[in-house]
Amino acid sequence: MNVLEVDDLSGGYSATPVLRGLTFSIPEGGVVALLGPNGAGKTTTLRALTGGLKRTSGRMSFGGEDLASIRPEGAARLGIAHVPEGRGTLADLTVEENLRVGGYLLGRGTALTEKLDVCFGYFPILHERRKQKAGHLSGGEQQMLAISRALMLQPRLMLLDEPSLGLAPKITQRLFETLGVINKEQETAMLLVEQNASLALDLASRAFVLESGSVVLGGDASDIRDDEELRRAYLGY
Amino acid sequence: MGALLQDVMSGLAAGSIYGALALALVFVFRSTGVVNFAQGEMAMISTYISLSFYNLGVPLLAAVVLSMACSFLIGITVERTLIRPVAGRTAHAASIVTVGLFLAANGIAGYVWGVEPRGFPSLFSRESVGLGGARIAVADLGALAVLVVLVFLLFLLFEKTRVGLMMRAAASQPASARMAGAPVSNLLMSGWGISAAVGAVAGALIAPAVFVSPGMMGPVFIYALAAAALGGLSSPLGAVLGGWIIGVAEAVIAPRVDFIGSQLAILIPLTIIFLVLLLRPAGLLGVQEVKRV
Repeated sequence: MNVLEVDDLSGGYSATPVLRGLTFSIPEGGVVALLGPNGAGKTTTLRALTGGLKRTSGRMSFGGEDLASIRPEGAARLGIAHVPEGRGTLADLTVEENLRVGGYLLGRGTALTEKLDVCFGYFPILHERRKQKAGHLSGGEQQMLAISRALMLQPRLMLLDEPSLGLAPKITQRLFETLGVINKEQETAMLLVEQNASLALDLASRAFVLESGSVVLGGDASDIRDDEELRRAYLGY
Repeated sequence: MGALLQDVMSGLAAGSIYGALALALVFVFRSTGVVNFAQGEMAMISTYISLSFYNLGVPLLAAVVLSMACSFLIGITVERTLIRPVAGRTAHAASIVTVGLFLAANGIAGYVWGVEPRGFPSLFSRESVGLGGARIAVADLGALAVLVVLVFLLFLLFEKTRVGLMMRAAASQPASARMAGAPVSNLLMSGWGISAAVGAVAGALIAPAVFVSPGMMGPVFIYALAAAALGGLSSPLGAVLGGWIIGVAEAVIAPRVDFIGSQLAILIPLTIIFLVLLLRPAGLLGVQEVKRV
């Protein structure tokens, strides 16, 4: 059973197509890596799933729902959480306020406080800094906050755009370990766009390599990771 | 001593009116990120609406409350029809549209209600009370009390309620708020509505002193802008403090420094705006924008 199916999707921002016949899927609770060079259409794919793309043809469906005319608010209600590149931090709000904004759809009840505790459990540093303005956090902490904000939605699918961008290797390593734990414990499927292919292939179960807006290679993450020839040809390492 | 106290009190009262309009400015700025140069003119229209209800026989307080409701509707209509289409085009497009709205509101008011000044009854009694050798007008104390209540309510809304939090989120990062499922466009719209309603209060407070005319809010708006700049455009409390400082500075300095007199009194807020922007761009209580990459 797939939580997300993208079938022969084409589209772009204005007249220029960015995606050209893109096809891939994400199994329920699975982690899928989207790899490939800059400009291949990875970020655009994530935006398409939350309504930021002019679609010219093809289909997207999420848990059986057609995403043809999806808007960002609607995507959130369906359970798609987007952790954008640059993190989208609300800099002048405190850490806890950021999380409460993320939990808007949970209403005012105990569900909200429970979810806050879940986030603080994964990232204790955020609990320590919960009264501080988010703009004062370090890059790694802001990324943790962005992931936690997404987690507050109780998403079935989390879209992660370059979570390692600008972070030190050690911090990235720990962040990816936590993402793995979140995936298992919260049963959240993840679509991971990442420059660091080896890191992404460790976390993901499946991977798709994009070039010029379509998939040129797809398969089990471990198969791609273990095949040196494939790696050299498509990922350059 | 009595004269000084009297000047301070009347300065606080005037400052409360500047503060009320500054609150409206801060509310729009904080909930939508736009400086609304038409805030004063919208309050002027609200005052005409209050007066129209009053002339129909509605008791004054009820007339002002009805006008607040109408102003809320005017505020959301302005956001929907004039601000939203240009929002996000360029950084200041929306603020520039409000300058156009300033002129339009002036023209419309003159067309509908005429340009002759009209009297406006005071919400408070015309009496005064003795205090430490000074005579303090009840209306002055009333203006002060209304402002304190208003700022407290707005503080609660922004800091203690969920909708206030979401308004702040929608203003600072609309994309993030949307991705969390928030109805961002409705939040922005209500921000304009609420601030227009606050403007109606400011109008009703100042109208008995200046009479109702299309140009009535011009100087008040300059003072309010100074108050908001002084206190910090993002801080409701700052707007109120700013209003009081400017009101008191004007009331105390103008009669004591010969060359200022009543003609040059407007230079006081302008000097204050200039000095604050020079020394502390974020205002007394405003938050310097922090960004770390």
